[in-house]
Amino acid sequence: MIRWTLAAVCGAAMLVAPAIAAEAPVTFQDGWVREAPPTAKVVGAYVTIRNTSDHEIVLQRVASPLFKEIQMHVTYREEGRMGMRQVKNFKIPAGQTLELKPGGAHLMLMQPTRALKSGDRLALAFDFGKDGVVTHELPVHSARDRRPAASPSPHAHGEHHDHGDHGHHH
Amino acid sequence: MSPFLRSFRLGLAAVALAAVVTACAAPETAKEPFPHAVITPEPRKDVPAVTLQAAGGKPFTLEDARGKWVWLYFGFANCPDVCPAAMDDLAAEYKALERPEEVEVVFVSVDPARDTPDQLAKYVTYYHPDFQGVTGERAAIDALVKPLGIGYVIDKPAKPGDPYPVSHSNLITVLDPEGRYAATYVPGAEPGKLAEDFNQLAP
Repeated sequence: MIRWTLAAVCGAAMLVAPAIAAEAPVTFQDGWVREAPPTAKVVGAYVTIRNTSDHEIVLQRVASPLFKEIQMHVTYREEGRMGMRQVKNFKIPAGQTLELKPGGAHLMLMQPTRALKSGDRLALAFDFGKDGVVTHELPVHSARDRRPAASPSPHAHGEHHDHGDHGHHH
Repeated sequence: MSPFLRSFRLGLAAVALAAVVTACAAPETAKEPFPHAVITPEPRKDVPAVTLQAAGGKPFTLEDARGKWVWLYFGFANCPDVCPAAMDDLAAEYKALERPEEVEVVFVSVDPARDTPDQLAKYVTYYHPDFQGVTGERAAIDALVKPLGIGYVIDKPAKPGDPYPVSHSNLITVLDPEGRYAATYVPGAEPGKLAEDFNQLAP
């Protein structure tokens, strides 16, 4: 009797579990891919990700069939130089927001199979491990178009020329 | 008129005249030429005559640009975030110039191991067809960056076989028509101000 109940419960859980894991507890805002010179082997992408759950989630991997590899990086300033440091993952505490933006944390999309152009939309799979994988589309923008504000405000859709934390040298 | 009154009126006239002269001489454009620069070396520094390579294997020296202002940016083409943003900024500033024929924009790659001059030409002309992209021997690059206060480091990759990271100063260096280092600007810090400062220079 107990074994039967257990089997039924497990069976039910297996039916329900994939449905729960399919949607990670995140919302996306202000995502964009920076249009790069057609010969570029690396392309930058940015997005704001909010963790809507009550526990920490970890962005472990980002993937796209159009790029051989996607790495997560943080731009830093040290002794008057700017550089990038690869990070293994981005941890987002419960209810908090991760901002990937110019001059800060960003995605480095490597070895494109074709050059992305302004107006294209790039689907990226965001892998949050046990919290699931979500696919989200990011528009490709060049400096010549209007692009979403680099700032985190979800309501700012005006044209911004703010390049984030670049070079506060003085 | 009494002598007192006459000298009083003369005195008043003198004061008035002095005030007018002072007002006319009040500096409008007499400020230093690059008000939005973060560095303006005084006196302007000489820059070593190094030879770099441009597309098609052609040698490039800064002497080629003598008679024009030069905006230099040091970076590398495998840079997805900082360099593209700076190049976008340079393109916007260059397009806002009233006399762009007076300015040469040159991107210098500090990563000649990966960036060939031909690739650099394709890279920079995406941002503006007038831009030039050059690179060269390590010794030539080092000799050039030193007096300009530009730093760069070619780092070790995290794992062997990984692309290696490069860090570099994110700065626009201005050379005057005599080839001397005249000013440093921060890309994107105050959009439009580099062009504005240049548009205010006497032609």
